[in-house]
Amino acid sequence: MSAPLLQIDNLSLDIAGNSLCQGLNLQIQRNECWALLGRNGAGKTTLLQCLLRLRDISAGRIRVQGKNLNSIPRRQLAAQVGMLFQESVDALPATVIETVMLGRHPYSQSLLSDDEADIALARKALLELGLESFAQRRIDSLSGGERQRLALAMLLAQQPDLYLLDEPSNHLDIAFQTRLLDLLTTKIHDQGGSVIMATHDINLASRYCEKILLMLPKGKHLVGSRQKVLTEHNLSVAYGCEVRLLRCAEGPDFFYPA
Amino acid sequence: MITSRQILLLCILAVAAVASLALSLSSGSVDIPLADLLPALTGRGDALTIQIIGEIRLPRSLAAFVTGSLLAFSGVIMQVLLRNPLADPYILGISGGAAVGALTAILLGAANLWLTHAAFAGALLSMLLVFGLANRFGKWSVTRLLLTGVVISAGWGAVINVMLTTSANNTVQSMLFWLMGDLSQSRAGGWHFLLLLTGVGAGLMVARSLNVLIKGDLVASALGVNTQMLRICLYFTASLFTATAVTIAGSVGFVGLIIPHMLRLAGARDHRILLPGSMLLGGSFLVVADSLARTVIAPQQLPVGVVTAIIGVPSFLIILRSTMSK
Repeated sequence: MSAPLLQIDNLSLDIAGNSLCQGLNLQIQRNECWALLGRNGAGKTTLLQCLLRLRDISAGRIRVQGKNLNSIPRRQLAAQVGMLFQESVDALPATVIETVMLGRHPYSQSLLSDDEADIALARKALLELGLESFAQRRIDSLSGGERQRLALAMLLAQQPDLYLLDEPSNHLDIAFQTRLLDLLTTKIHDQGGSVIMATHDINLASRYCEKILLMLPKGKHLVGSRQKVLTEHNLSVAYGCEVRLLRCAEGPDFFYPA
Repeated sequence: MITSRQILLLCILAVAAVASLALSLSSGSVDIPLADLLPALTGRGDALTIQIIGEIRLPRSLAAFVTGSLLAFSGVIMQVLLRNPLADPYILGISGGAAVGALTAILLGAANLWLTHAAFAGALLSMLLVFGLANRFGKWSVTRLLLTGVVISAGWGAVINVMLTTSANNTVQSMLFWLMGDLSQSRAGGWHFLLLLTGVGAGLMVARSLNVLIKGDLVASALGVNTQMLRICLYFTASLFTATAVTIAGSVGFVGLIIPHMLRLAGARDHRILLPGSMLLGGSFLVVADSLARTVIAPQQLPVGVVTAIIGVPSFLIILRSTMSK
């Protein structure tokens, strides 16, 4: 059997003296959809950034497809792990298609010319997120939701094996939330990839993710299947407020604050 | 992404560069017809024309071109490095340091050669000072760099003002010319062109990474760019180029700020086009500005830095308006 996409051993994370996470062990195989849940400031974004070596970890070891994270060159890592960020920086002008093309950066061979195959992939990503008619638009003319879709299109063009999504449903209406997650689950199924998404939307997580990493106060955490982790009690502890579960006869279960 | 339109733009800019040089060589106190330029450059025609072209106008025009190219190139790099459209080559205090060096030389009555050495030394000092102060434990943020640079720049400004107010009137005149940017004493050396070519080459090598870097350090790192290393290279390249430009012509303003924006507005946003394009346009722009500076109120000469602003401000505003209404 091949090495897991991601293996985390005994990981600890501290920020400014606060322990966000202690002794985390986690294995992500191919074809898995993970949700990363926890209250504000629990360290969801920080953890995702550590998985891309954008931050240093306090202790432990992270391996990507069997190789130590620190030994993988950045460019190669970018072909294996890609991330959707919460914020985007648009200080200087660019068009939608130019921005999506940046997702192909890890693969670019020629210094001066653009590969036709890369352009085709960028256009396909635009199509998949319903942005095909926006290709020549300037990004500063886009709405919040359109920007989010643009960032996702850039990530799709990157074609990583492991997608790290930081609040993917931000700014998206419910139609695009489901469209996006349907698209991602099909993609990881077809390509043998996996997704970890940090989200505040427990119901979205419970609908699409089989596996859950729930961050609890004081660096504790729960890892496991949706059925095991997503309980009224666990969520109430994690968020520090009473969470109830409404079981629906048809359709997914529904969590809500009491 | 490079489009055929952008490549066409680059070709037009190359033609414009040649045209600006021709215009500059033919205009002056003695009008030399365009038809006589090529023979004169190759050493044919009458002796006076050859002398005017070869010894007076060509060196000055080339100096203008090199200076404009260096400044526009540094402007692009600074805007990427600081991720700030308001950044120009002088924002981090390079020109301030150079000015203090140059003014000290003028104050001491030093010869022209020492003036350029002093200016370059001042620029290098400022560059290392800002880098040393902004850089802590190998990490530096954009904000920290920007703030350090702006503060150091303000400090140099104060020193300059002290020197201006305490100097005798006749030295103040040459100090002001230097501060506004002036090409009347400027000569470009072969190594300047070598520096330009190296810049284009190195710039094209990292142009793709620059396209990614303007999206922020996190996105760029996630896409495989070694941002820390790249930023340090960008800082030193832009600083050295600016230092060189300032040493040739004093602090000519405006070129480094508006030329990159003009090209971005014209659609050249990919750095593979933007970098060489800026060099061509920046060079041509300063050549034309300098031709005007020495002909408009001839026999008197204006400092070229004044002309760059006078023609730069309206033309930039016109372009900005016309692209905004699209």
